[in-house]
Amino acid sequence: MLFNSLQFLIYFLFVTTCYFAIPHKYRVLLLLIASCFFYMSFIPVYLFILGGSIVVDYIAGIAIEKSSGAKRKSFLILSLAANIGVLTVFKYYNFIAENINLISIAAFNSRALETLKILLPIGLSFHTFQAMSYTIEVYRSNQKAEKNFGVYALYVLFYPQLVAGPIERPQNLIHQFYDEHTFNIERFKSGLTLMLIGLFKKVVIADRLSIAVDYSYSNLNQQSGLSLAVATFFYCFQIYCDFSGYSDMAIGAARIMGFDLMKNFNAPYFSKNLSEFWKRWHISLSTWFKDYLYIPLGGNRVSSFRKFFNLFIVFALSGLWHGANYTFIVWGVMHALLLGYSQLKSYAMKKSGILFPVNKFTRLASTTTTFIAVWLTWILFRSPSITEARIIFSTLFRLELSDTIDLMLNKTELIFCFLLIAMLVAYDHYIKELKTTNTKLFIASTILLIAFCYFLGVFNHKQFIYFQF
Amino acid sequence: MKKVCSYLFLILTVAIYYCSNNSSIIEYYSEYRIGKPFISPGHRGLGDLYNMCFISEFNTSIEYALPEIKSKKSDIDLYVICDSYLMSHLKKENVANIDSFFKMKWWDESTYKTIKGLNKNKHNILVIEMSERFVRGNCNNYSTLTNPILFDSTFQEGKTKISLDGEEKSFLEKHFFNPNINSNLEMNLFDYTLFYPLKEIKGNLNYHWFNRIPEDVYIDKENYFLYYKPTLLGEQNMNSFFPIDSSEIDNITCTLNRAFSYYRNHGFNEIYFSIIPNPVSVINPGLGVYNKLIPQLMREGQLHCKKIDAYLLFIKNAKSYYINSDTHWNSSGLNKWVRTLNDSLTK
Repeated sequence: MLFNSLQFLIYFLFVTTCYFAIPHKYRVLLLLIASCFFYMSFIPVYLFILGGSIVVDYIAGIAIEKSSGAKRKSFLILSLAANIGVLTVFKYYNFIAENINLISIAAFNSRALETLKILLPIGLSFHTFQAMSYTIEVYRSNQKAEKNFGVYALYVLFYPQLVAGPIERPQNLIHQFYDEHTFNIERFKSGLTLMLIGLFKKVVIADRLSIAVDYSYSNLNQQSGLSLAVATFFYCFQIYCDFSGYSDMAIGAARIMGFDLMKNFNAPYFSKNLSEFWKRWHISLSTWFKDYLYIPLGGNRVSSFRKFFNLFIVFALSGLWHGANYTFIVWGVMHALLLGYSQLKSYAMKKSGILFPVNKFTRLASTTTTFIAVWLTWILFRSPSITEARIIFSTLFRLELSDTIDLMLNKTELIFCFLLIAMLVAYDHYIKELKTTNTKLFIASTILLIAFCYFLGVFNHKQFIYFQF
Repeated sequence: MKKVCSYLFLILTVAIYYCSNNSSIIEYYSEYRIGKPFISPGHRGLGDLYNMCFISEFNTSIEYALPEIKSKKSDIDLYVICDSYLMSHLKKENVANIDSFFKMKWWDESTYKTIKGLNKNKHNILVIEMSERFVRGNCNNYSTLTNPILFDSTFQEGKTKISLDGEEKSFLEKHFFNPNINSNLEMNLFDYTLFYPLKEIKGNLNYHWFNRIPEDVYIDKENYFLYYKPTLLGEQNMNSFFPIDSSEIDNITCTLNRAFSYYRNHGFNEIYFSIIPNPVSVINPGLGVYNKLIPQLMREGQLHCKKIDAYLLFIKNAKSYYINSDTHWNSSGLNKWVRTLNDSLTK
């Protein structure tokens, strides 16, 4: 059940109306059933896997709270192992097996491991990380263990953010299930507007840009350097609109029902350096890695070498989180290297006393440089393998301005794509979030957004990119 | 009042969801709504390809008319296995000199017949019609060809028929997660004449601004025709331009002959076979290299049956036999084919 489908529209209308129509005491049950239904609409049987980890973490949470010392730690380790175990079997087993087989074929001319024919449960990495953050927070005594199984299950299953985040923290979400929400017209207006903006980003921008990107990346040998450069430029905005569009719809849908989910994106392409980029892009994942990996490894309060090593580990794992492919790992490592370089540079400049004046020009220059770095690394993220990524990089280095652009778009559509990107950039820079306090403006913007989505949207029921993670 | 409204709204959403999920209700509603004020489907009388792209230049209404034929008393029982080219158009009164008339539609099990045997006092004729795009995918499968009429000496009228595909839909799929739910919802909520102007604006805008049409449609600007894209650019089976070698032709011929033997052994006195060409095969074969599937199959002496060679019928003046916004023939094409059938039956 994709957010950009009629099925979701009907489902959402039903669940939301029902939510406000029934007494408060039944609402958790309703949301729980609705969330199970939502998850089952993808592959029903995978609800059992999710159910299994929910039971394990629920028990682990209570056990951690009740115990202390080594026992407390062992319960945490048990819970983390269960979660990482499920993730490994479904997401990484085949990748590991294929790599071991490569070695065993080279050495012994035989395959050591059989690969499994299994489909990755949708959004597995998201809800696994959310579940892990619960047991970690209980272990750290920042969160009380949840005694109500239904509420805990709902914390993992809450349908707006179940399959692609934002990856919530128990402190932010669990207490909201106990709050009694009444229908609030202002929340409805801003939630609906956010949902429509998310839909616009997905069907008007992301799915239109994807036509060019998919064509270009599946015909690499016929592509000129300029074509690939433009396609990758489009991909920067495709992935941003696809993912932030989903997040907007999730946050908007939850907001209508009275829930506040954390912000996941904050105009990331306006970042002046990579460190800032990671504070603005997929915020819920970046903060997850910061809180549960980077800081426990020592964070910034260690030697420069150790700090760089920590960055390397965090980004390599963050890359691996996205998928079982070397492209993602190298993508993460590249970010770590660039981040390390920029920190080293600023450290050296500070030491030698060189300070650039902060003005519009230098800000623009750093924003542009950061964008170019991110743009180049997206090549790895989008490529199906390292070989393809290498072809793209080598073609890009032969780029000439006289190259032709062949992206399966006519001139009007190409200009339209650039216009959409310009609109998005302007929105991120000047507006950030549409104000909905003025009712006339709200009605006008709602009608306009619906019209734009319908007339200019590409409805090919394309899945959200981040669903595969 | 607020409560009542919200409960009514809930009932409405559940009803819409359930009805769009349940295939039987969808089928019933699709039939029921025809001709009813307000709920009559918007697509009725317009081309199926137009209904995919909504480009106003191709908004042409389609009407079929077949003359009724005054028949003499006869002892002919006519069985027709056909696809959408004939299914809703051909009726008993359009065919000359027949006593009884039975129609079965390919892949629609509800129309398939399970019978004890044919009436041996009658002259039983079987007509097998199939569109060119289905031939390669199905005519090398014996059971596909013989399933429409099953002969079962123990069969009793009124008993449940044997399910042919053997795979029952799961409970969840049947009641909650129909894979076609989005297209069903689209049909139930927006397939009304009222919404067609909006759909046309979207279709025109995307076509004229971006030269973009739905994936399955191809525009032949030279002939001002829409084609179903898989018939000229698709995978092997439907594509008129996908090369076919002699061994595949032999294989199809062999399977067809086995199927004809099956029907003949069960008592059919005559069997007619006809393949209706893909529009692109006869209107603009220059868009590729036509694989000559029909001419090769219809070669003299290969198939052990009588033939109605629609390729030869339509190759001259092809455009006048097809609809420019549909995958099917038009009324002239239908009439020409039925006239040929009647001529053969009255010979």
